[in-house]
Amino acid sequence: MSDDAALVARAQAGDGTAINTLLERHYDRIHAVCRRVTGSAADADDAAQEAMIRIVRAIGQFDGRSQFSTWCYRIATNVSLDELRRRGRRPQLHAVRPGDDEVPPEPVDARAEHEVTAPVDRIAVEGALGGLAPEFRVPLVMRDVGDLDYAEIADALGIPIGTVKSRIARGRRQLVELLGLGERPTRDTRPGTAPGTPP
Amino acid sequence: MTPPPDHPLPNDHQFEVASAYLDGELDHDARLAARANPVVMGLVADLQALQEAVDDVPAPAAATRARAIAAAMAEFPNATGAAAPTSGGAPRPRWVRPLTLAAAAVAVVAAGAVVVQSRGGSDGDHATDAAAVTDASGLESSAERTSTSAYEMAPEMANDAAAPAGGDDAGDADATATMAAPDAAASTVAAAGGAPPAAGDVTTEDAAGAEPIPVITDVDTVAASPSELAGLGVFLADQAGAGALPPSPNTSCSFADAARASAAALSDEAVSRADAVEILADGRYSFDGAVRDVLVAVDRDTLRTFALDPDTCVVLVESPAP
Repeated sequence: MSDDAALVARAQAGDGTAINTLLERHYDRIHAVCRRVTGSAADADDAAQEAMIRIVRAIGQFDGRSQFSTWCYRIATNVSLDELRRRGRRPQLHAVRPGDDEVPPEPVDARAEHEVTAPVDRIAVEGALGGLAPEFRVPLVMRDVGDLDYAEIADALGIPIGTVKSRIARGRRQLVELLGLGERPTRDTRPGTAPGTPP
Repeated sequence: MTPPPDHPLPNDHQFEVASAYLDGELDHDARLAARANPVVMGLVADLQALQEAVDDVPAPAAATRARAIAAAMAEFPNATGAAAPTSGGAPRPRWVRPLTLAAAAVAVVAAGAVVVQSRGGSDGDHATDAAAVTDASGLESSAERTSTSAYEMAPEMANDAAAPAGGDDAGDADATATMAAPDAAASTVAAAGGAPPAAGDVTTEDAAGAEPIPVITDVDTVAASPSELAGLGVFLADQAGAGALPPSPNTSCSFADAARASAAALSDEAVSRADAVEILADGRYSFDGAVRDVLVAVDRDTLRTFALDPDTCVVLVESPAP
């Protein structure tokens, strides 16, 4: 998004087309961040809309020290956490462990039922994320959904990089445990498990 | 986690190393050490799969997207304090009614039905002025109303419309915005603080669940759904074939340009045949009871019909093919 900065400058000068382009460009990832932080499509819809409004209201104050996307995800994260606080709860999703004999609980997001092609995997991941405390879930979402690096996450959350690193690792470990991944006999039973090649 | 048989279960440190390796956050020496550790590399593989699953987020509905952007755009003039752009020397859109354009944008998002406009009268002068003096409170209320609108889209179209707009397409965004909101139209929308309907948010109807195409025999008929728009399109195409239609509307909109701007939300056929679609008539569309002017465009071969925003040239409604 190398031209985000140019669009931001134009938006700050009052160019409606520029801000509209920025919103169009970033909405989906903002919504994704909200979805993963709140754990519900309905809450994500509300949070993402509120985030978009806050972005527009604050565009004049964006100083360009961070990427525009980073700034947006920070707003989206804060709005999502506000949304959860406002509703006085943590994400209302349920972990579904592979092999559970019980009928999986109804997901909060009924829409998800129609969107998924692999319901157990997607719902399970969403449920497991909902089982993480926000201090682990938020940096993990910012990393895996927002694609922010540790320094950007640290900046956004106001915590040291080392803390980001450990919280993401702990969050992932908890996810692995919640999803029962460690109980699987071999990695070959799941797709996409080739050893990673980090950037 | 499936460590090789000869290795112990990963500990916290190995988890942290694997996690940081996956994220590209290790320095050179640490990376080499990680690569030499089969437990860590096994973890990396598992965490990579987990990372992909976390990132696999359902796409938001196009209507939700449009609502959010419209609500945010309604805040824009207030946020920047920018002077309202003027329409310069470009012709005033004669379609604009004394409805604030912010409300019009909301009406677009609220979506629903099409009405064919009675011909003749133009109150564009009033409309432009009204748009220019739209106050913040009006915009706020418009934004609020977006939250309760009942815009619907066929699921497959919604998914298409919600496709990410970034990446290689990023550079095209300005171009499409320019195409979608030429000259006076874009300026007027900005002046009112309303959001031009987002390219890619098109009311449509799942062909499988579409209502029957009604027979329409009056150009002034009010259509209340994409199917009724299709009925109108059939009628207009018939009239055009018989040479019975008045001259095409005076508009700077090009359907081909509009289709490119809204390509993500239109059917493949609509996009591929965009050059064959003609803007045949003026019309009006009632979005949840809020009537606004539209341009009615028809592919006279397939009879697929479209309603365009006359101000921004964005495609608002695509009918099912009869």
